[in-house]
Amino acid sequence: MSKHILLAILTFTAMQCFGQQQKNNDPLFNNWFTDQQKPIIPQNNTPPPPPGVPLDGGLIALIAAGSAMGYKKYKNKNIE
Amino acid sequence: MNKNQSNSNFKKQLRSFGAAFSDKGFRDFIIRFLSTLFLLTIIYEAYLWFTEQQRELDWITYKVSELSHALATALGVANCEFSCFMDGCRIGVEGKMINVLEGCNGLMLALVYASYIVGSGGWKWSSLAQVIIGIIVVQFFNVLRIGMLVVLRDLGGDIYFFFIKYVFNVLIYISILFLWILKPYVDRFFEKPNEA
Repeated sequence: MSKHILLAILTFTAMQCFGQQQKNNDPLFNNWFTDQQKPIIPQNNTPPPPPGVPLDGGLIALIAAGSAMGYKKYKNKNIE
Repeated sequence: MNKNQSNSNFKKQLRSFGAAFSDKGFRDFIIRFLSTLFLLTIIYEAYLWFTEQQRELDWITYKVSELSHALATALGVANCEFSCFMDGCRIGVEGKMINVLEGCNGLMLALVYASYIVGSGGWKWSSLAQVIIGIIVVQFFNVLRIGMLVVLRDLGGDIYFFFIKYVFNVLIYISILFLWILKPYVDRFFEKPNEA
């Protein structure tokens, strides 16, 4: 029985080793033991776009500030 | 101040705001302010849509970029380049450029400023004069901001990001608040010839 188990393990290992030696260019099917090939990514030579200089980030705050200023103005008028 | 006190203060403020809204003057101001802003935004967005259909860059972004480029060149940025595309303009030295997009032209801020002036003073000649002066002031600060950013980017260092994110933005917003604060004095200046 143990002979059969040992034989099965050896056969399985041999198959694994055989499988590892098969060269496969597809990076998805690369094995763990050989040097993994890096997937080929087409290199884009265009540099990243320059940073923008946005200004309209505080529009809501400005509208709120305008409303508050108007509120203050009419509040003062009512007190007078 | 404990939590209950701050809550009651907030409620008091909210109640007084509600009371102010029942005041006709304030209500008219808010309606005029927001409706003018809405109207001007629609006109501006329609203009942007039109230029997009023409596959062109809007005139304001182009002019702001052009003036900023001229300012940066005057401030001593050597080999300062300037190129415009459909989405915006690129200014600066090769490899250290900045991108001036539609959101960078400062016009939305100018529209909020103009809406406040109209909301506060109504449709009058003095309001129109203040709107024109205000837009020129806002655009002046914006051109100064972009020109200085080109210079800072050319000089290098991380300080550029601090300026781009905080300093110049705060400067423009403060200039608008300052113009709003000055409004009653400008109104008085316009009213004087009428009284005489």
